[in-house]
Amino acid sequence: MSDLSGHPGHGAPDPDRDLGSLLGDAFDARARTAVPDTASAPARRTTPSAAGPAHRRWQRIAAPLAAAAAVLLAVGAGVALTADDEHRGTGAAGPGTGTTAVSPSARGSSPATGSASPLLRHAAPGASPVKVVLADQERTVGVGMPVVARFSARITDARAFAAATTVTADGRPLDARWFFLPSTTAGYPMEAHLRPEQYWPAHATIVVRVASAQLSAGTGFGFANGLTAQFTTGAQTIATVDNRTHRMTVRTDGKPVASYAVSLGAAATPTLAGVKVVMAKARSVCLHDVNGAYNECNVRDAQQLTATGEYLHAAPWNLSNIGVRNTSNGCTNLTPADAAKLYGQLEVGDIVVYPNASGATMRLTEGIGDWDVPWSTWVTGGLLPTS
Amino acid sequence: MAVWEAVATDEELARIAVARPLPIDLDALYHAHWRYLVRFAVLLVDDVASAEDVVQDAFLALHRKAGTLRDPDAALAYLRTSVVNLSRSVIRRRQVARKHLKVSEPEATSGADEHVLLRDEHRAALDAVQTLPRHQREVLVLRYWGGLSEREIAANLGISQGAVKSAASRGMATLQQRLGGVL
Repeated sequence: MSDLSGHPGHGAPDPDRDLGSLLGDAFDARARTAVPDTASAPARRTTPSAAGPAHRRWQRIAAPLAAAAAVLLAVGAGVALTADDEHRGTGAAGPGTGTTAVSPSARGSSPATGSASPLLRHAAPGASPVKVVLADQERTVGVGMPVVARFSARITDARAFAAATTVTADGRPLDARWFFLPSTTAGYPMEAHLRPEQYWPAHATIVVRVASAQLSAGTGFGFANGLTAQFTTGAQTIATVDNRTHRMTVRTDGKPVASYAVSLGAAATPTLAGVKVVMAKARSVCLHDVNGAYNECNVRDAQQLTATGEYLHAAPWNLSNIGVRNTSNGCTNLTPADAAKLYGQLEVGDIVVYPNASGATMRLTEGIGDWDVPWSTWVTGGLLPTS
Repeated sequence: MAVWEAVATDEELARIAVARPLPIDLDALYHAHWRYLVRFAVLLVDDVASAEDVVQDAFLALHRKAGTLRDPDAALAYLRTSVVNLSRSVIRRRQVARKHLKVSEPEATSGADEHVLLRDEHRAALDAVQTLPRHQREVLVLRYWGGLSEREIAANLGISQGAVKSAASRGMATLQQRLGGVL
């Protein structure tokens, strides 16, 4: 999730905006989001599917064996298990690109499981190769941004993957765990999120290595590659929004640096509670209700907090209620001056907490809801046990 | 132009495969164009799972027709047209299903991931495009994403160039109305 405010002159309204190029950009963004450049085709079907399309779709979800059979066909097409590492995050080729052997010391020294672990099972010969890729991530992010990996098949055993993971912060081992869930990205039916129990350490360089090449991903599956991710964290910036006093306090590395009046969601459209993470920023956006109830453009200094449409943003039409009562559609309204200041203070990955908002606690997939999953649940691994 | 023929039985397909080697390398075409075609289908049906199914079916149709297509360019045009027609069927079936089912299908809305990663102005544009009549949506996708000329779009959709022109201008006028203007 990247900073969206990079366009020159993006701040002022532009009634002459070329609709055609907006369409082209929008189509392109949607197409690439749904089908990343790294997606590869599943086996081509050479006989008609027995069931109708609606049934096929359910089969997709309920029949991982069918997917396994399709991946097995791909082996025949000449895809071999290799030890190529997938590198991401530094903007340039990472260290040690293209190593074909993984040293014994790199494997099995995960702080989560200790020394060379029986969980680091190799894939059986002839196992179907599973590609694992990293979701795009900025070089520097706030301390709340999980690392996301996507898998080209619905793997059935995550223990080797987890055991092969080492995470360091400024070179020192850090205990971070994977949590598996379904993915909606084309070509990648499953994904996993990595995070520590507390937010990532601030002002640190985090390195994640998964030496998964040739390890088992379950019966009949083997990982085709490993992963390396490297990113740096900025200051620990946490904004806390108090529903009772209608105020937001921003703390950087523990020190309060700002306090802003806010208006949250009205009773009929409450703001979700819990820990949210800034997902994207834009100086000027169109906000719309998912049910089509409203569509407002030229909303300024918007910072997205949930996939359900909650944002921090300027609300010049709501000045009489900001700091006084909750009247919004779920967004966090600020005065234009405060929204602009806050826009400069928060980056993608920073934390915004709503300890006492009126809505339900945000769930994992309603945005970056990773921190709302209790650690005791997180360490079990989600869809697949990780130990 | 009929592009969707009756489904061949497995025996017929097997017989064809043995009796007549395909002049077009289907596997090469598939790997070369899969990503492009699934992306195209996603823009029409707004759902990744359906888009992947559509592309599989388009290649199945091409398989049956491959004996009569001599070059890869004709094959790609055929695939594009297949994707358009199959996407129409998906949308028709979805509309029928929505009318008769009380519970909305889980795959009907875009995944949370996709919503997250799109800018709001893009999301607004895409939502507006989804509300356009089918022909207008197809023309705009082929023009602004596919980069096809009016003549190519007309050929792909089996309509006249005049029809393409008017669909495009009507579609853009509606979008301009929905998306343009300030609060």
